[in-house]
Amino acid sequence: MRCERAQEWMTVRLDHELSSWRSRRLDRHLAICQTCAAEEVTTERLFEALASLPVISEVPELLEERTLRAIRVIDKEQDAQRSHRRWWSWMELAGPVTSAAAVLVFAVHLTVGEAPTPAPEGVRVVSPQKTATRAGARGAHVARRRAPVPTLTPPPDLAANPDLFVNLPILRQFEKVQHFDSIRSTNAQPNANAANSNG
Amino acid sequence: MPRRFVWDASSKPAPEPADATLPQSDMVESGPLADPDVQLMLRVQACDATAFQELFRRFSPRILHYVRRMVGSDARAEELTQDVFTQVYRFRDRYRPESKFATWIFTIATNLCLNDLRRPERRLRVDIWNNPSEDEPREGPPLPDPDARTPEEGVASGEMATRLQRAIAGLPPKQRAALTLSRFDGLPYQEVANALGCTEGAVKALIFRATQTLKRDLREYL
Repeated sequence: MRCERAQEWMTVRLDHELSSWRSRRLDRHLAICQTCAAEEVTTERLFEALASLPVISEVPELLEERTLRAIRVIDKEQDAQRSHRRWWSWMELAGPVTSAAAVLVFAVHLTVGEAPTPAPEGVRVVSPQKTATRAGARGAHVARRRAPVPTLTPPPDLAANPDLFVNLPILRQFEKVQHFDSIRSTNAQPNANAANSNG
Repeated sequence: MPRRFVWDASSKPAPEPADATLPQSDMVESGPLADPDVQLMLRVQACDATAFQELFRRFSPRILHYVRRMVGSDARAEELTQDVFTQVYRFRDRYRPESKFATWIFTIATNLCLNDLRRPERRLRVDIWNNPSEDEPREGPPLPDPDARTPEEGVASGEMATRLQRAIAGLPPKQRAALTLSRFDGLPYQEVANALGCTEGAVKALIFRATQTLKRDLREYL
């Protein structure tokens, strides 16, 4: 056993932290090493001197008062934080609730929007079969709602049978446009004649 | 036989009568909850102001002395002691009764002291243990040892105490903390290791090195 190890162990033993078998090994070393035996006596004297030193200090009254005052301040701070946190917890709850409400409103809107609207009297609705077969009835409905505004010129197959679509709003508009064009052309002709006469 | 300081229960104030708010189970009878300090701390966790005051009165003399020994300045020691107790109160919810309250509070005190010792302005302070004006030191002159056989021996013992205080103040902070917690505050090595945030082996090494330094410094008295 090395002397340095022995001296380390004697410190630990004086602190009552050395295991019994190590303590026996240390005793065997001390029995044969006079230097370490003397060192142990010195260490014991040092520890006796340490034990004679004071271990407590007198606490000034002012320190207790100051500390208790600081505690009261901490109490107030923590109360304020707690109430703030309570308010925020409501706010935290408001977010998901608002989102859920928005989703619900959107779902209701979709459901109501998907309900089949009765066709107006005298209008014949042509079922878009191709679209319906591809995306189902719902897809077709959405596609119809999102369809672009049709042009004034009817497609050739529709133009071939205008009687079928005479009551469609777009065709009524078309009639109005034609009527407006006829009025404009009628009014424009005298001006043109006037311009010719002036020229 | 060397005398090791152990925090004597008789030196503590009488424990409070059992609180009706505490759980009255078998755990209270045995285990950490049987410790009156832990019971006090549990009452502090329940925002009992009188329990905190009691805790302060029990621990502040030890904490103040420990902090004084660590930072070496009376004024700073008082400030840090106040900080220790305010931290105990601020973070009272973090305390778990599995560990001894003394270990917890000394851990807080050690961390605050080591942080304070790392601060650069610390170098400008004058330490009480290294006070050059020895005519009237802050703690008063060293008293002769009452157990001394002769007056000369008593005076020598008083001188030795002063030299010892100074030698302890000259130790590196971690060695000083380990030695103080172990020898003066009676914490076992494992709890000293917890307070210092190191292993038990490291604590043994720190105390050994501190002891060697003190023996070297006080060779003429030992």
